[in-house]
Formats: sequence, structure tokens, C-alpha cells
Amino acid sequence: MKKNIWLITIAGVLLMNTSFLIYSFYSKPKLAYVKSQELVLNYMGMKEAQSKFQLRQTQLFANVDTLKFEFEKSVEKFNSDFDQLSQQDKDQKHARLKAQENNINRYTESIQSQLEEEENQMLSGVLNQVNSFIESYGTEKGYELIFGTTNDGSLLYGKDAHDLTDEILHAMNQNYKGS
Amino acid sequence: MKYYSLLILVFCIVLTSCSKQEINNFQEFDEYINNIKNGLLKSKNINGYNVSVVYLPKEYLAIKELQTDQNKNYLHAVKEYGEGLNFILRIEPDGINRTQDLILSDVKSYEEYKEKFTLLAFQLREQILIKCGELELVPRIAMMEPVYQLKSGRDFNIVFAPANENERNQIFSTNQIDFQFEDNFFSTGMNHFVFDKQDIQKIPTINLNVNRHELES
Repeated sequence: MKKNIWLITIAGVLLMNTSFLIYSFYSKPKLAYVKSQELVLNYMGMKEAQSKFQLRQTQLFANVDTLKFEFEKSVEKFNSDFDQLSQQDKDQKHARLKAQENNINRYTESIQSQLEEEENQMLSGVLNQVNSFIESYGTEKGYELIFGTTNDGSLLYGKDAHDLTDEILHAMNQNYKGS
Repeated sequence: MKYYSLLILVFCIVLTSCSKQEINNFQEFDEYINNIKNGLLKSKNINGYNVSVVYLPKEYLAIKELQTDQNKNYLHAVKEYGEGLNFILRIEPDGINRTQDLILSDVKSYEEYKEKFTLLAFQLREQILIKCGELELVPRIAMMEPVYQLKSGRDFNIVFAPANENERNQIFSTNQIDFQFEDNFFSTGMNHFVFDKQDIQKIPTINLNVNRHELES
């Protein structure tokens, strides 16, 4: 009889401990972090967007280079003909070259402004994709918080076990490809 | 004897359950193509918007046309629609992060509204292309459907048509169609919606009450 009471008591204590451990495990908030820069730079969407942007940049600046080349040729010709020109012709050609230079500068500024806007739009699209994906990933996998680390120290330390960078990057790239 | 009867019964049940699904009315067909498991609907949620692309089979379009014009020949309509590729691009607020009408969202003035509406109505085709192997095609048509304020999202009919026999062969011999949408309006970025040929080919048998005399002629 005494032996039975002891056994029941020990079984009861073990059961209570196990229940408590299981409860503690599942009630702990599920936290993780990603290395934001690594994630964004290795994302296929970012690579594709950067590649397209660079192509666009090259195309637009090719026009500027052509205009600059023509301007330099005009300046060379002016310098070579300088001694043979009358004062009036010199003044006129100088004014035309000045106007041409100003036009090229204005055009270059407008291209740079346009490219800046396009780059911002491109980055905004990519970052929205990354953020939306992480949000849905976190919801699906039951995470309470997913931190994004940055170089200025938003997260000073995190165990590798909580680093989701590779996992999310793989899933995000699969999603981007449409698979 | 009982054993063999039972075996035949089980065999019949298995056979009927394994037979190709049939579509018996237009609504079933509509549900089939809009079911994400069937591979004809691809969807993404980005920046509070659901962006999805639905592939429209030629049979679906032919039957839809017959609903409005009973005198049309079904097979002729299927052949016509089969010359190209038809999609619906659907953009709508997800109802959680965004609820406002698509064109009104992030708009601060009537001029911005007018600009956004004009861009969506007339310039969307510049943001879309499909890639079939090495071939890249831009849409012949990219038309916004009117909604008469009945919903907050918008559907766009996108039609691609090959310019020559070579393009046609490339489109219909490819294993995948990559529908690319580079969004400049809602900050969702570049999106790829990849359709597998096997999903397009496994559309179930259509068993609809079309004009029989037209089919048999």
C-alpha cells in the first residue's frame, strides 16, 4: 500500500514537471532575425532590378557621352580656326559653344534626376516585396517577431539558431521565380 | 463469387474516381481556372495589394462568347482564341493593409488621380511582357475593365498574339510561360508569374450544352 502511494506520488510529480516543461516551451515567444543587407542584396528580385537599372543608366548616359563628344569636337575646331576668325565670328562661336555647354549640363542634370527617381522607385518595389514576404512568412511559421539587423547596430548579437536569413532568402527566391 | 463481385465493385469505384474531371457548366469552368491549385491562377501579396494573373483557356473564352452570341460557331471561336494567349491581370487591395479603391489609393489631388487613371488605362502594356523560352512578347491589348464602382480592385485583359509562324511555334512549344509585370504604379516592383504548360494542357473535358448543330457541321 505504502509502495503504491509512493509510486503514484512520483508519477504525479513527473507528470506535472513534464506538463510544465511543455507549456514553457510552447508559450515562449518565437523570435528570429535576418541579416537585412545580406537578404536584400542576394535576393533575385534585387539583382534583376539592379541589372535593368544599370542597363537603363548606360543607355541614358550614352546620349550624354555622344553630346559631350560632339561638343569637344566643336571646341577643338574653334581653337584650330581661332587665328583665322574675325572678332565678331569669335564672339558668335564662343556664345554658341557656351550655350551648347549649358544645354549639355542641363540635360545631364535632368538625366541624373530621372535616374534617381527611377532608382528610388526600383528600390521601393524590391523592399516592399521583401517586407511583404517576411510578414507572410512570419505569420505562416508562427513567429512573434522577426528582427532585421543593420550595420548601425540594431541587433548586437543573435544566436545562429535564430538566424533565418538563408531560409527566408531561399523561400523568397523560389517565390520570385514563380515556383 | 462474393469476393469477385466485391472486387469488381471496388474496381468500378476506383475507375470512376480516377477518370478525368468534367466541366458541366460555365460556372464550374470559372471556378476551375480561379482555383490556385489548378495552376492557372498565380497570385502574390505585396505592399498591401493582391496582384494575380489568370490564364484564360481558349475554350473558356469561346464559351463566354457563345453566352452573348448564340449564333457563333464554338469550334471557330476556339480556333480564333487559340491563335494567341489571353490573361487577366488582377490588382486589388488585400483588405487588411489596404482597403481603399485601387485608383484612389495614395492619390492626393484630382490631377494625380487623372494621371494614374490615364497611365493604367492606356500605358499598362509597356509594363508587361511574356517570356517563352528566348522569345519576349509585348501585349497586343492591355485593357482595363470598367467596374462602375462595384469593387475596389481592377481587372486588365491582356492579349498576346504572335507576329509570325516562328513566334507562334516558340510560344506553343515552350514548357513555361513567364508573365512579367514591372509595376510602376503601386510599388510592388518586378513580378514574375510562371505558368507550366502541363497545367494548361490538363484542363478537364468540357461537357457543355453548346449549339450541337454548330459542333456537328
